[in-house]
Amino acid sequence: MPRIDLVVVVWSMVSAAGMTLAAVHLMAWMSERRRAGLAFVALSISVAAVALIELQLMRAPSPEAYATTLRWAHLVVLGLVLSVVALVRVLFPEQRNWLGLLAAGARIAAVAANFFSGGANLNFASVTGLREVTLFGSTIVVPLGVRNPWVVLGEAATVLLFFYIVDAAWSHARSAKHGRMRAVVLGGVVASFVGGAQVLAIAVNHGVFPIPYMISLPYLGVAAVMAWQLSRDMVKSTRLARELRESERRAELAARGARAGLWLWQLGENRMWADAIARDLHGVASDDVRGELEQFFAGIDPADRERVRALFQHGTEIEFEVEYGIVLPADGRRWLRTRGIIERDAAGRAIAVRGGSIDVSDRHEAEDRFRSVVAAAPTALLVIGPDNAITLANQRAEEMFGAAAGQLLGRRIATLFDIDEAIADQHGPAAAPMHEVRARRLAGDEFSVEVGLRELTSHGGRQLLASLIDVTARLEHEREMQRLREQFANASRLSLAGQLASTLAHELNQPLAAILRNAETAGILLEQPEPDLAELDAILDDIRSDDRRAGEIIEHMRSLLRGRGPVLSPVELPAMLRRVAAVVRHDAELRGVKLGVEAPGGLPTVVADPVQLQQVLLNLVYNSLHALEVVAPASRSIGLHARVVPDGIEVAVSDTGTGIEATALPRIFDPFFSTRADGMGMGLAICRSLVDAMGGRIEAGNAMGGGAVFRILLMPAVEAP
Amino acid sequence: MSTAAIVHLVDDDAAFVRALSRLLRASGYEVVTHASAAAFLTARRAGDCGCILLDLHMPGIDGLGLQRELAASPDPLPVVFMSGSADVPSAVRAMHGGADDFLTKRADLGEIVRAIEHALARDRDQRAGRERQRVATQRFAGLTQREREVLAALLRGLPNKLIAAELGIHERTVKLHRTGLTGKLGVRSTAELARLAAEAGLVEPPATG
Repeated sequence: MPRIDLVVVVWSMVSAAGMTLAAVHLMAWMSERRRAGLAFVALSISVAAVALIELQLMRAPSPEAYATTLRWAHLVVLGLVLSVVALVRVLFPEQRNWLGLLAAGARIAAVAANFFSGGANLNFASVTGLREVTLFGSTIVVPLGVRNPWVVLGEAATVLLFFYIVDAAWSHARSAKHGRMRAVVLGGVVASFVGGAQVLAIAVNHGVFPIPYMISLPYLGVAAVMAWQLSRDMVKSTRLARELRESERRAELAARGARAGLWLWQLGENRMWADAIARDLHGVASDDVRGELEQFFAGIDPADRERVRALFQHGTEIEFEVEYGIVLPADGRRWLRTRGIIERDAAGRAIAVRGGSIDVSDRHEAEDRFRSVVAAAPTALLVIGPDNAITLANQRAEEMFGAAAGQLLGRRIATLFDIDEAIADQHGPAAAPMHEVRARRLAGDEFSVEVGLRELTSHGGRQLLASLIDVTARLEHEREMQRLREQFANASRLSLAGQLASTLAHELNQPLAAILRNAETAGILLEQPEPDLAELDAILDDIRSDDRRAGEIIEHMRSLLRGRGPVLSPVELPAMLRRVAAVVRHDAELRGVKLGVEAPGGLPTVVADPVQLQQVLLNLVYNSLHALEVVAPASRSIGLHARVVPDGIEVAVSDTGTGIEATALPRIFDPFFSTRADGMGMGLAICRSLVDAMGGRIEAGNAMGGGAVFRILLMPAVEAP
Repeated sequence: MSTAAIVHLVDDDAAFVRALSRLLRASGYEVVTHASAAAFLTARRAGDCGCILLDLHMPGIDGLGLQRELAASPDPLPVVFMSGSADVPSAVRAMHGGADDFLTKRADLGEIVRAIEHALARDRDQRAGRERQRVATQRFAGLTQREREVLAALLRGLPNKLIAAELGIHERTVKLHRTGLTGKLGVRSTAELARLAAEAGLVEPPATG
């Protein structure tokens, strides 16, 4: 039975394993062309070659043959080291370049020393003999000779390589988000194999143990560990690539459905990739998938171009959305909306921009048409955005508010209108009814506008279209009419009073004339020597009856003038005050009088005749309006207040006029007492009688800061249990 | 003051009528009271002399209406208006309608008496004028047709010769008619004839009266 030479078997197997790995990875590299694959092929071949050389050394026939083989072996070792460095660079991207280069350089220097130091090789100055030893039952030779001092260079190179690997693995483990443990193990194993191989080599060099060079074994381990890692990465990247292709295909399908064009701009290479739709949308004619970047930007409207470029290149947002125009030589103009994602490297530098663009020309054209309609509209129009700021205003609106072109944009409507911003929110999608509000020009003066609101929906969210009609002129007209009506009413009241007076005078004249004539007759009769006493008696009778008749006439007139009694009910004062303010607002505005209503919430209802109380308040407010005519317009104001006081509820009408003279105060409520030349002196008298009839009280006084105050005290209504 | 004259008091206000009539009677006037214009018109007798104190405002025919009716009658009485208060437009209309005076009901007694006296004096004047006219008219009534024609021509100032030519009669016949009519009328001269014709209202009275 022939004896199995184990050394030949083991080293041949190591070599075969190296060659197999090399073959497998070479095939993989042919399809994938990854640099790591090529480096690994080099490593595997180097391992296989080292194993064959080691086998030859163990069977060297002479010291000279040994020395020569060993000398050439260093070239293979160089290949081994370089491929390890290359693989470390791939596996641990965080490696230190300089350390790797230093390790590789040291190894190259060692190889140089191997050939040019004058010794037999790097390890020995000369191989003096061979010693036969037994390994795994086989007889092999190990060298005997003088050590080459340059061998330190080779050992140093290996130490550098060792540290390079350890450092690279450690850096990777520190920076990697996951797989940290794997990096430590991988680096540790590779470094140990490399270190182990060197320890064996040093032992041989120094003849410490009678063993042969056998670094192929640990390096096969290095290759095996790296092969395991590489195949893992490869499987993973293949899966990722498949998934990426799948998702890209899906994205493309979706993009086609939406007529969206996809593109990718690699900033580093400054290359643009765009699909057919994106090229078409951007007006890039080339069929080349890798369209020129400048061609891409050339299509963008010059007005938008730099803005878009800056956004793409220096955008700080990871995602952005932008609209820009494309000027097409043939089709004129189109609008694109592009949503993009900026991809960044670990250091945060933008490395690529991925984008999807769609054609929004229809919407833009619709918006342009809308803008034209707004601009050409004969009424003032505003578009109000979701945050109650103005997003569009036509020239008429700008003129209305005394604003320069564009000056209204971005303004909140509350700064222009005297309305709660919530008003805008209250209106549903239907056209809101027109209503009248106060508006302020930029210069500060106020005017009245009628506002119509209509909701618009657009991609920017809910907007409101407000049409405005300046109704100041109409209000002026209405006020003029109102004034004429008042004058007419006044005149007819006067004429009624005149008529009443004339009727009263006529009716009273009859009995008074009869009394006079009777008295005269009595006078004549009494001058006679013997007065007719019976006739005198008749005359006195007639005088008495005429006097009664005069009294009856006066009583009848009084009952005609008195009117009806109060109809009491619970009255909400805040609503009453607002109603009164609404009635007099136009008159107040006409006279430049500010009208303030102040009624706290939760005020108890009061007992009053609502119609008569309103009459009383109106009368007081109109008196105040008259009183303010002598005051400078800037300081004309009237206040309507309601508050709880110890005796009940107080309603007050105050003004900033000149107040009531102290001498007039005690008589102010007397009938026929008036401080006005044209006054009848009946208003306040009637007010007092109405308030008295309601069970209330009215007082007149002067405010601390000047001006008259009329206070009406009313009783709170008792709530039904 | 004339005892024959009657002061008519027309007013719907009984108390005042009673008081005023009492006063006027005490002042020496004969007073007849009427509660309305219609009552006055019914009670009035032709040839009454005196005047009317008339209330401006009355139900039915008011003062102005009664004034218009009186003015249309052959023997109107002078009217003094009374009103409870001085009402300028009514007063103006009353004066235009020929009222003698306008008083308020509470006017001074002296003023009332003056107005009544003035009205009564005017009534006497008007009445005398009407009497003269009646007498003159009676005299002319006895003339024949031809005498009237000659008279008319004479009053136009035509000489006999032209009158004869106009009427187509002989000049001597004209003279005959002239003698006849002057004899009937009892006038001695053409001037006297002209005055009589004016009194009868046949011609405008001569400017020299």
